[in-house]
Amino acid sequence: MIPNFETNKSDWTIRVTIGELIDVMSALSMIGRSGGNGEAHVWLTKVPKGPRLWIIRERIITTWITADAESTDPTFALPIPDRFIPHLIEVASGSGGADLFYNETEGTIIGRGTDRYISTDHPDNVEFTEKDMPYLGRIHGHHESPAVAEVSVKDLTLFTDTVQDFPRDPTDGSRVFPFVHVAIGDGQFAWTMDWRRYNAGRTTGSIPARTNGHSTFTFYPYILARYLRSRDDHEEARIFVDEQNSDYVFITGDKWGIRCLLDREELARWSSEVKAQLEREGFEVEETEGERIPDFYTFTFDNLECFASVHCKDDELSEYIRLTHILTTNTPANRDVLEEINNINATLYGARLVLRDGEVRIIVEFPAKAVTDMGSHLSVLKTALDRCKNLTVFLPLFSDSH
Amino acid sequence: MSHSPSPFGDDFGPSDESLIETFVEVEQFVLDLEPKVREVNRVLVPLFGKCPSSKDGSWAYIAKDDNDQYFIAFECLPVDKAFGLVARLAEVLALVEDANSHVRARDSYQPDLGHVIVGDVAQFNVVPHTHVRVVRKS
Repeated sequence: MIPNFETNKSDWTIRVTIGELIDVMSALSMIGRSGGNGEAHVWLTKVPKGPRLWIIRERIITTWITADAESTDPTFALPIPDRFIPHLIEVASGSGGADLFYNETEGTIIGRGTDRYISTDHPDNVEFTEKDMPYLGRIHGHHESPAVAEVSVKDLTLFTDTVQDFPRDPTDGSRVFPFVHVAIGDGQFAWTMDWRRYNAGRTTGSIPARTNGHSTFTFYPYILARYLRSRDDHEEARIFVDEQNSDYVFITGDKWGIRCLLDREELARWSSEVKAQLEREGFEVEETEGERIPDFYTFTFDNLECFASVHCKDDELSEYIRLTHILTTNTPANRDVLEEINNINATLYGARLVLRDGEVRIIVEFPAKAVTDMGSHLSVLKTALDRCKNLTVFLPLFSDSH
Repeated sequence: MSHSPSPFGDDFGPSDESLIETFVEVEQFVLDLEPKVREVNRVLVPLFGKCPSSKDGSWAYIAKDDNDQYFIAFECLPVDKAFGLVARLAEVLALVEDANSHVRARDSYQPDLGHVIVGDVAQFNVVPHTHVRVVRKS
């Protein structure tokens, strides 16, 4: 049957240029999605009273490209399968662009060149959500310490070069490459890549920047570095972190931008294994809503709330896991309390009580590499919890309020 | 070669002290206060609707006190409009209390730099709705 692409058309058409399609394809390639699996898609929408916007979201990064919009551009978010983009480029070439529209009886998205058509099924069961939005303004003003660095894309080449300078055999068994440590401030954008875990030492670089504010942060940089290599050398880029402990760093150019999730390397190396081991031991671990790897996992042990967290040792090369239960709060650091803590610590094995920020905590710590021994360390925690049961009654007696 | 601080050379720089003070005031007005007033109105107008007392619907404006110090002032409201505002605030309060476990206002408000730094993509007020696959019978 010969298809008739011009029937049952939607009442909207979007005229896209081959230039913006190539930009989208380039972005897909740079973030490793050029292969186009069956489910991945690009969002096409329009900024209110502004430009057209192509959004590509991955777990770690979200990138966007802006292009001139026409007044007839719809404002909804249209999902376009990754695999359709190269075909649209082909249709648009020699046609001065392509028209995109929807066939309402077939449920297909159609691309039309001068005399050529291509169609694909509209993705099913997908929804554009807040997380797909490149930037979410916060009306309550969570912008305590914004930091901005304006740098030339050409200078950023030094950053991308050092990020992509892998040791010959970069494997320590953890399958997580080093995160980059970045500092913004005092007219510089500076960074360090630490390959010591791979016997290759550290590399630190700095480029001039017009800066406003100070910030330090870490993230997984490899996709970003590859993407930045595809940007025009003559452009300026703005690097922006919203606040201390921000979720994202933003890097924007004239018609493109990228949002990179900020995470901690030690969490990336061990958190999923910590969660898996807790679940293997029969604990239900609370799920978290955010995109970042959680700083700790919460689980319940004999009706007591406990936490599992990952921390770096001072040498920055090894990590340990800490299991914590907060025994009391508002506890003063007076002599009686400290003596009691010392007395109990003398009877504990593999666990200890600490007084921190007015809280008496039971903690069990062990090397992250021994994460598969979680069961035995949970037993140690259990013994300590049993030993300290009476303290929840005893220690508050020393509180100032008594 | 001239080392004049004035871009117009020594002969053309402002020599009148009062004029210089005026320039300083204008500079403070333009560079400092004016963006802050815009930021205040950017937040307040979507939240409360347009102010019924001002021509352009803004809630905040720049004013001077008796000591010639600039400050940010808010429009006066007729009694009935003030109670309308209070009703709106009560609605907002209910929303904030409902969402309080996730969103907490800080004591010190910092302007949202995203609109300046991130550019056009920061202009969304709402999440665009999704174009869904609906197939109608021919």
